[in-house]
Amino acid sequence: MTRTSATTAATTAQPTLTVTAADDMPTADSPPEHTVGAWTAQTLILSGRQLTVWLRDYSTLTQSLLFPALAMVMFKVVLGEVVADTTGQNSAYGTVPLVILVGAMFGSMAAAVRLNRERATGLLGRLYVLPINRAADLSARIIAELVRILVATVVLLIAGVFIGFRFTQGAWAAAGIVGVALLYGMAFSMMVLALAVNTKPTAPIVPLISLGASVMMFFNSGFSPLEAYPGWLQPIVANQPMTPAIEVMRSLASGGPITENLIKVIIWAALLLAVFTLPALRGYRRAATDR
Amino acid sequence: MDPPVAEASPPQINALHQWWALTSRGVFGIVRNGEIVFAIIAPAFLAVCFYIPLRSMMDSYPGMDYAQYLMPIIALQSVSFVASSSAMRSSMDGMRGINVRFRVMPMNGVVPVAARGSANAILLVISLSFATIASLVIGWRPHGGVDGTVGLYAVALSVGLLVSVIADALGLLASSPESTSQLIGLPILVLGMLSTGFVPASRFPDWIAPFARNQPVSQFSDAMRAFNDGSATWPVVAPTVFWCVGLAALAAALLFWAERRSHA
Repeated sequence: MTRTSATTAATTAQPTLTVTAADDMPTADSPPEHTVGAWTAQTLILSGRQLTVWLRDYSTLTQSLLFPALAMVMFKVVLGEVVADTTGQNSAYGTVPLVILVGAMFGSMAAAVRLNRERATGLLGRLYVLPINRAADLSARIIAELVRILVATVVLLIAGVFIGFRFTQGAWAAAGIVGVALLYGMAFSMMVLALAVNTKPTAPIVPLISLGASVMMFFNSGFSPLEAYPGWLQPIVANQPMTPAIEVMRSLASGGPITENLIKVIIWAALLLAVFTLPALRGYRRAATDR
Repeated sequence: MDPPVAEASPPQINALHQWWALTSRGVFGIVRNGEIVFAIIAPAFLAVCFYIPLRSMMDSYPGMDYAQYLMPIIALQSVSFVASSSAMRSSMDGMRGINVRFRVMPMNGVVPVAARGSANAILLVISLSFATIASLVIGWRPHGGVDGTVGLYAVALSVGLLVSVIADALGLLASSPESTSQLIGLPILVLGMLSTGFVPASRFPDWIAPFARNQPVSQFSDAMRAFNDGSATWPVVAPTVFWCVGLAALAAALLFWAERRSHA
């Protein structure tokens, strides 16, 4: 007999069962775990858990908010004049989007470390055998990542105002900047999540992704103008995932063409989501049921 | 009457053997944890990530050869990576209770400190060697003759050893490896970036230029550049010497404090 049918049998055997000890405890009329209602309710609860863990984890919070804000100020101070001399534009319009995306990437890696820790301690397995919707915890992790990216983006945009970043194109364009950050962050988070659950907990997956992300952080149009890179490298820099996202955010803030770079961002995001969503789902199940 | 029992003579305690055993342990740990790989990759990564994107912009300034300019900060950042790993190692030892175990053994308190210092020195030499290779690849060349080149590496090694000892002591004092990471990481990030290592002081905004010019990493970079191009004079090198004396005093104070606290 499967776990679900056993639960159903128990429910039908005692249709009048209610729990009065505490109002928030489950009752017999709570939705079955495989329904959309259960998935929604449980995803919200588990998202809250993820965000609580994030807020209580001082080092991750620092990595997500303080370090990017500090990096933003330092890039502006150290390279601001050099970049402005070359491009004729305030370097903040490249630095702020760059740091927002970097914050999203490194925050995702902190989440992957936490996932591996929870996997090693058996928490994933424990959640898997409880009457909880199978997809709820994975959905919760993605939602928590999106909330984290949203909060970090808003904080960094506010910090960006202090170094000369301005929203010259109105409120919708400002919302678009946040939207691009969320799209990029979600795609990257899905990739990191898929790689984390499909490798051994001891595998150096996070350091390797960190190395890749760090290289991307220096080879994009937010760190240095595209024409400053050697000719042979310019096509690579122009088309790596960060550059189009930075250029869209720059254009949404200060004006300029958007379409081509937005298409590139959507293609990159769709590609990452298409490639990594199914492996993330399968890998999560394997990670939860591993003994 | 029982036959007399020969008393077993206590084993000879040799501090040198203990130091060697603990140094070997430290070096094996460095290899096993992948720190040696990081010591090789980090300088190359730093050289590539700053030189390629910034070279064309920086070389446009009169008299600037960015490969020559960048070499000191590549070496100093390599030194800082060694310091970070030193702090993490001593912090992990503290967390695992190894330092407590050493204290109850017939071992001089100086031995574990000296052994960790020796392991750090080995990692430092490896890291500086690869920083040199990375710098040579991007186009740096030593122009200061034998004396200048010796002076250049003397600064890098002195700073490296002193900062490693400070990091080691901070690792012993910190409450956890995570807090150690941030305790070390933040000053390294700030002092490294806000220095004349990457761009000249003239390119900084006026409000922060005095700090950027006079902070220790800038002074070390300037002294190393002076040694490298053969223009080292006492007024240029003096701030580095004074900073090193200050770092030595800080290292001694922190080690003393760490030892005192560990015996409390």
